[in-house]
Amino acid sequence: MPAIVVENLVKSYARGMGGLGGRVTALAGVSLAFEPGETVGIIGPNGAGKTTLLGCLLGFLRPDSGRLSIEGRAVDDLEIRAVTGYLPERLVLDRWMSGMAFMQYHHALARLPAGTRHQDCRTLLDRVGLDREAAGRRVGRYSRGMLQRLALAQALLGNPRFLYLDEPISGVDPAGIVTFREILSGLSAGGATVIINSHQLSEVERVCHRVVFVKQGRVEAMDTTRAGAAHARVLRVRLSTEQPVPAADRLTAIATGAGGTYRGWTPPDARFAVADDAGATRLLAALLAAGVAVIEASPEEGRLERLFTGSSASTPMPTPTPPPGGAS
Amino acid sequence: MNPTLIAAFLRQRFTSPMRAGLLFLVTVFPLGAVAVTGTISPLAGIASPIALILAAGAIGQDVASGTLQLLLVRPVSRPSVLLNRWLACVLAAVGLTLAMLVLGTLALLLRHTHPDGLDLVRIVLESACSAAGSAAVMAMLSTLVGGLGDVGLLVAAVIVTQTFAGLATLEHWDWLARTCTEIQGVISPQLGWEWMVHGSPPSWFAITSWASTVTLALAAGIARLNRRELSYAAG
Repeated sequence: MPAIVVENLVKSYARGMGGLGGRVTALAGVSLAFEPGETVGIIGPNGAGKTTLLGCLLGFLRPDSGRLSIEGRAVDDLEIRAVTGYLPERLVLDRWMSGMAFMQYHHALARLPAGTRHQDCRTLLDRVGLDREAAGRRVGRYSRGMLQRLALAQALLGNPRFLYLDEPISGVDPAGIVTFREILSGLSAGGATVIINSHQLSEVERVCHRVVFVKQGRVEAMDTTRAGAAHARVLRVRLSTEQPVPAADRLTAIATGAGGTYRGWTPPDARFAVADDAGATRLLAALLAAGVAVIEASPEEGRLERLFTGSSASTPMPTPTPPPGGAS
Repeated sequence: MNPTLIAAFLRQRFTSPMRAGLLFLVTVFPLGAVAVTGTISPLAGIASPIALILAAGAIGQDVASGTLQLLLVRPVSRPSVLLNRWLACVLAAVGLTLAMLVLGTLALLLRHTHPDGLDLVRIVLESACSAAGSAAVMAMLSTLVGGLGDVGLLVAAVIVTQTFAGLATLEHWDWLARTCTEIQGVISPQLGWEWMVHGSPPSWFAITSWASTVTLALAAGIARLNRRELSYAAG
């Protein structure tokens, strides 16, 4: 049974003073279902309706029509809110509080036990990389990255079953991104439903099981990601044209020997599928060892990038084609 | 009653330099007047401005900044946010008034003047009622507009009613004068407790009128806040 159900959701906004400019449709009949333990990325261009969808799921906005339910309850049911975490895109936190006071305030609002308040907050602040000095500092003096970490820590209070993250790694340094991935992985393993609204496509592809592409208020496409279905990474290897290009069966044999798959020839590149970074390294080493004149290698444009730039979600991988007049 | 909401709201209000400065002005000057005039009456009217200072932007500022969204993700209902903030304003206004009355009484005792105990009780009760009324109206206005727009609405309402009241006096238009008095009663709901001092029966009409105004203001504020959309995408 899905944890979150969205059916034919329609939401429009009044345009101009008093709605004299008509209405602009932000969501035009969105239907989605989110399973427990699933991490779903919502992507789409600016103005696609992503934030509106999140606003409706959080009960900030009232849909014009359609149905929203979380575990069969209304989205603004207080029992649901008690197990909900939210990291907003605009980090307008209470600037006059210290980081620790802010955490304790939200800990109390979340009805979590007062006896463990300080320890719970300290643990979460440590987890997101905010030390005691930072926790004691006023939020108004935080950098963008620190605000992002603090907002993530408050979103994690009480181990939420539903977590909504709006641009969660915007402004976060590489170490913070690694921490974010670890936290998300733990939440997902714990059965939390996580919905991420982000423009960081590579990160969405990496951490989400599924991605929903929203455009002009509609769900244009849905797809499982590498994290969800173990899609192979595709590597484009450019070969020198000054030497004869190896035949397809030879490239296939080299790739198979290195644990990869030869996917075809798209002049002037040979395309290989590999499982991970180590697989890519093994493949390149095998090609060089076999005397193949490799002059460049790069990962192929991601599936999400293709979605974003207008391709269909279900664009099939090109079928292998033999290199032109290849020599063995 | 949510002590977490009340404490956080009051802490935020009292750490705002502008509000602290205004509170200083509306409490210290009347206290000085008590010391100079030798009567406690200058402190009788401080609760309402204190409540207004604390309640200004109670909802609108958080809606405009976006902090209300983060608050409402927690298991806290919209009506409870408004009611707890209203209650916080009333408690703080009455508390500050009581503190000023204690200081005022001490100042009078130093002048060998003994304030009437019943009169002090009357002032406390009237202060509590005017604080509750002013905070309710301000909280309601705060749900209508963002930021500190509620102050603008209140000032505009006061100026308009005063202007029309002056016109009514000039032209002897009793109906307009009466209307302006009623509107002023709604903008600043107050309840007199003189009957307690004089030993006369209470005016049930005045009590009902004050209570209904406060209740209606809070109900209107809750209704508006419940319908309010909280997103910058909503404009």
